[in-house]
Amino acid sequence: MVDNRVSVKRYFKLLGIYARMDLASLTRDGKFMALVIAADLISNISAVSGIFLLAWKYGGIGGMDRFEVLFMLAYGNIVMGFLNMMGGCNALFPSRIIGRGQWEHMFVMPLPYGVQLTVGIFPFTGSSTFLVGVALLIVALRNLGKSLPWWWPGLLVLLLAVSMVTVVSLSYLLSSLAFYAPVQCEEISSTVIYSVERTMTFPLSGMPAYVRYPLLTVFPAGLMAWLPTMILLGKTNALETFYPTAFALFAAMLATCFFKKGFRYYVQKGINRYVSGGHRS
Amino acid sequence: MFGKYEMTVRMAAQARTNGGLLYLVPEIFMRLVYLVPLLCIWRVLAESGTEGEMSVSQLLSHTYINVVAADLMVVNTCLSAWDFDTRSLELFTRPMSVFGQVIARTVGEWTPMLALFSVPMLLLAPVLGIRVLPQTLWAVPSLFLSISLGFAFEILFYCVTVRLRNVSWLTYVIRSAIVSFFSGTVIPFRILPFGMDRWILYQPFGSLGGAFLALYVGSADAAEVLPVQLFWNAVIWIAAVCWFRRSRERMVSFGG
Repeated sequence: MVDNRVSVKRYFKLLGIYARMDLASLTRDGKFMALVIAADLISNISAVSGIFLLAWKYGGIGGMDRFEVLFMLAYGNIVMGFLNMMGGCNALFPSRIIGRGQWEHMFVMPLPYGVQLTVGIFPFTGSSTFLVGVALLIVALRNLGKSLPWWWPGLLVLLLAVSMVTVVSLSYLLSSLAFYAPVQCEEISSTVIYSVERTMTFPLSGMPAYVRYPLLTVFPAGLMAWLPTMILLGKTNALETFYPTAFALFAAMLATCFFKKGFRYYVQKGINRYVSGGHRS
Repeated sequence: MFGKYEMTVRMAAQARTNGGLLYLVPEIFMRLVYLVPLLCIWRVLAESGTEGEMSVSQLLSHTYINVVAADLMVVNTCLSAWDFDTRSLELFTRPMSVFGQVIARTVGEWTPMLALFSVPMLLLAPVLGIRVLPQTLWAVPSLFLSISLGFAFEILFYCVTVRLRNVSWLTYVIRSAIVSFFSGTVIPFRILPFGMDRWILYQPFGSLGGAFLALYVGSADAAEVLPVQLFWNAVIWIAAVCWFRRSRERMVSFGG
């Protein structure tokens, strides 16, 4: 059996290769670069402006003041921005890889699947959401006027990681269906990710239980920004504080289990999406 | 004369449901997941006594109609889709008008969701306590003008894609980002702060779904909205047709 293990040094070298390719793609043409930067700026500002302008106009939403809402939007931007930056080669959208029969391409690469999925980073063309999120977070923190304890940055990083694990787990959990129904489920991860992106900007404070609880359990968009924000602002009890971590662990275990099950099915049955001419059916 | 376009409409409608109606479930799910919390936000704001330029009933109707008729509010066609599979090239190979094909195909693609999502949701609205009847019949011509303008913008942005040699993803991102905020479909213009409500209706994207919704819920006057919509339709259609004529021969597609 071929040993496909990759050393840490080799892993970072691969990350560097992808980063260089991304930089080359951005700087190949000045006009293109200007357009990408402009598009990213407009896109990110538009994404958060609606809810923030509402919060500004009404002095906050449902018990959260203006800058608490801004903090929540910034947090969500950091979560999705980081994942978009790191998951450039559809790692965040595994159903596309599976549904298009591209996992078979990964069989022939002399790298473990995990490495193949995580080294395809877009740190230059894909970092704008993350950077806008960080900038908004700084603005929000400066205006919140809270004195933060020494361990607060650590909690922020931990909760960001927990939110990322949750969204990745959801994507992989539902993408498992693509092993069984590749055509129908090719874009199921997009549905999950885009729904989360659209819904995580809603402040759930003050919302009725029949809206809040589904958004914290069945479709946990509230764990992407709202509940972590409440934890970081010290507005939750002990049980609520640990809930996102517990949920992330549960979702990760469930995703691992179902993804492995689906993969075993796929290894036996295969996915033949390509006709002899090379086009996808 | 119109037989071939009717057939295109029918084929596009069938293509949306070829794999079974289950194909539409994720889209319906996405819309509902978006609609319910947004409706709750208006109620939360109303409960905290912040009702201002628009009543909560108007805000609920605005959001509800926007989600229920999302396809008509901001027109998306195959031209602005990620054109990595040469779909737009097909339009030039048939003995039909490119614009006609795009319009027929888009109308066909709307049909299943209109029948299976929009109509049931409109019937359900009174049960949810949401008013879905328009405040003025001027909303009808306004809807046609906003759809027409949507097609003009599609052609304009398609020319951008052609000129940028198929960076369709970038064009799609720019377009979606601009339209999501400046169309006024998500957050109504009337409630925007910093005096934005006074000028934002007059920018070209303001004549898309947001203008129609403002008339529909009665937060704007027809005398104010319709002339602006007519003006932008004339300007953007002329620009779109002229630029399309100059851009079509630069069309390149790689497929894949």
